Formats: sequence, C-alpha cells, structure tokens
Amino acid sequence: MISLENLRRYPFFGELTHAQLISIASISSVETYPAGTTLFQKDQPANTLYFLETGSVDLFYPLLVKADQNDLGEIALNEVNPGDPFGIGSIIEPYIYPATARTAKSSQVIKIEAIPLRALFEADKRLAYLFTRLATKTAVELLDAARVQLAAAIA
Amino acid sequence: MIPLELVQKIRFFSFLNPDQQKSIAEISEEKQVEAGAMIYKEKERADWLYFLVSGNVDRLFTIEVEFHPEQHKEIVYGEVIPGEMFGIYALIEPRIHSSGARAAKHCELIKIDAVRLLELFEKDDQLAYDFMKQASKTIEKRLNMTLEQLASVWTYPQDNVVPFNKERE
Repeated sequence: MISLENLRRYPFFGELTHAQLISIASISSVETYPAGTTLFQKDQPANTLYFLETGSVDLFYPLLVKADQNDLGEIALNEVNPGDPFGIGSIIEPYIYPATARTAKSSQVIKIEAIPLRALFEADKRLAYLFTRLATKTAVELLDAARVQLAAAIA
Repeated sequence: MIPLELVQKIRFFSFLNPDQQKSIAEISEEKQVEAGAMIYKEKERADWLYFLVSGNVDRLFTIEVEFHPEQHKEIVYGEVIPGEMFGIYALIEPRIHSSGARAAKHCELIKIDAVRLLELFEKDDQLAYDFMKQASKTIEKRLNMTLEQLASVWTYPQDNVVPFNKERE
C-alpha cells in the first residue's frame, strides 16, 4: 500500500473521492528501477498499470522478424514523462500490452495491480469511467505518435 | 433527434439499454456526405462524435514543409467502415481533431453532440463507463493496426505498401 499523498500529486487522482483513493492506494506500490530495465514487453498479459514518478521511460515496438535475420531491433515510439500513466493495456480489453516499456534512466514508478483494479471497476462505475477515459486519452496520444512515425517513414 | 432504429443499427451501441438508446437518439443528428467532402479537418474543434452508418470514410493527416507549399502531402492512414466510431477527440480534452476525415464515397452518418454526451456521462456512470470502454477498444485496435503498418514500413521499406497507406499528392 502507498500513501494517499503519493496519489494526490497527480491531477488525475484529484477527481477521485477519498474512499476511491484508499481503494487505489491499497493495491499500489512504489518501485525504483535502474536505467535499461524492461518493465513489460509487447504482447505480454497486462496486469499492471503504471504512473511515472521520476525518471524517464521509453515505449518501443519490436520489428517483424525476417527469415534471414533474427533481430531487426525496435522502433522508439514515445517517451513517458513524469506524471504520465503507461501500461494502459492493463485496463483496455483484451488486457495485452501493445508495446514494450523500458526505463531510459533510473526511474521511480507507482504500480497499480490491474486485476484488483478491474474488480473495483465492477463495483464502482464512476471509478471505471475515470480510469477508462484516462486510458483512452493515453492510447489516442500513442496512436498520434505512431502516425507521426508512420508519416516520417513513408514520406 | 434520430430514429431509435438507427441507434439500434450501430453495433457499437449494443450495450445500451432502451432508456440509454433514447437518450443517445435525442442528442444525435443524421447527416449525408457526398464522396470527397471533408467531414472534419485536422486541428479543427471537435464538437461531434461520429458513427458511420453506410459508405466509407478515409482518416488522413497532412504533411507541410515550411516555405515549400508544393510539397504539401495528405496521407490516408486508415479507413472507417460502417458501424465504426470516429472523431474520438470530441470526448478528449482539449477536444481538437488530430487528423482529418473525408468521405471516400457517399456516406450516411450519425453525429452526436459531444457536450450533451459528456453531460449524460455525468448523470449515468454505467453509460459513461460502457461508452468509454467501447471507445477504448476501438482506439486500441487502431493503435495495433497503425503499429503493425509502421513495423511493416520499417521492415520492408522496398515494398512500402501496407493496408490503408494510400499516399496522395
């Protein structure tokens, strides 16, 4: 469990009631990772929602594998900045991460366990709406970043 | 207001109960758009959320090169098929379209007044959640498709032809 103050630093959590904040805090933890740590990989089951507290996290998309070449690297999609959520696949069906996340420098994150979070959604539709709206906004921003990359690649 | 039957025709709305269907119908309008006409442009204010009833819509963005207007390009990066939602920025602050939408052929649309829809969300949490959940799934699907296009262009640049990448001067 983390303190409510940890959550209150983020504008998003300002929309939640005291009771909702306590519920979220009870399924959250704070962790610090060194630079270069992979937090999750594309296509993994998405069981954690993250908020970046300090540091920097990059999102990548692994390239297709050609028959004659095993590792084609990855495309840098977007940079997560402090205060931003990531790992939003954890609250959008089918609950799979669409990209890989790796720390660009030493980073502190809030981790929210997504399975109990989704259970909270069943009992509290207002909470569910607020989180899903946040996830949709973040997904749209990632989609825009991917479009910019696509334009650059084919222009 | 649109007929209730039109709301019932859109698969996206399958989660609505009869009262919610009526509420959505009350804040919606029907619109016919000729082939080639813009429905909304990139960077325009997003006041309406759209659903395609029939026809096809291209989603596109433009590339401008400073001091070289002749190098202006439109890139069609996706299409909307009947039953799908588009114009999601109507529900997301600052409510400005990040890309444009143009009728690829004659289209029949439903457009929903976004301000009144957001007001409904304040009164009905179940509607708000179910609606946003459906929208998030649509966006996630588009994100995955765009990422696959991007990976394909990077991996096989010599082909440079992937679904929905119709570049037009």
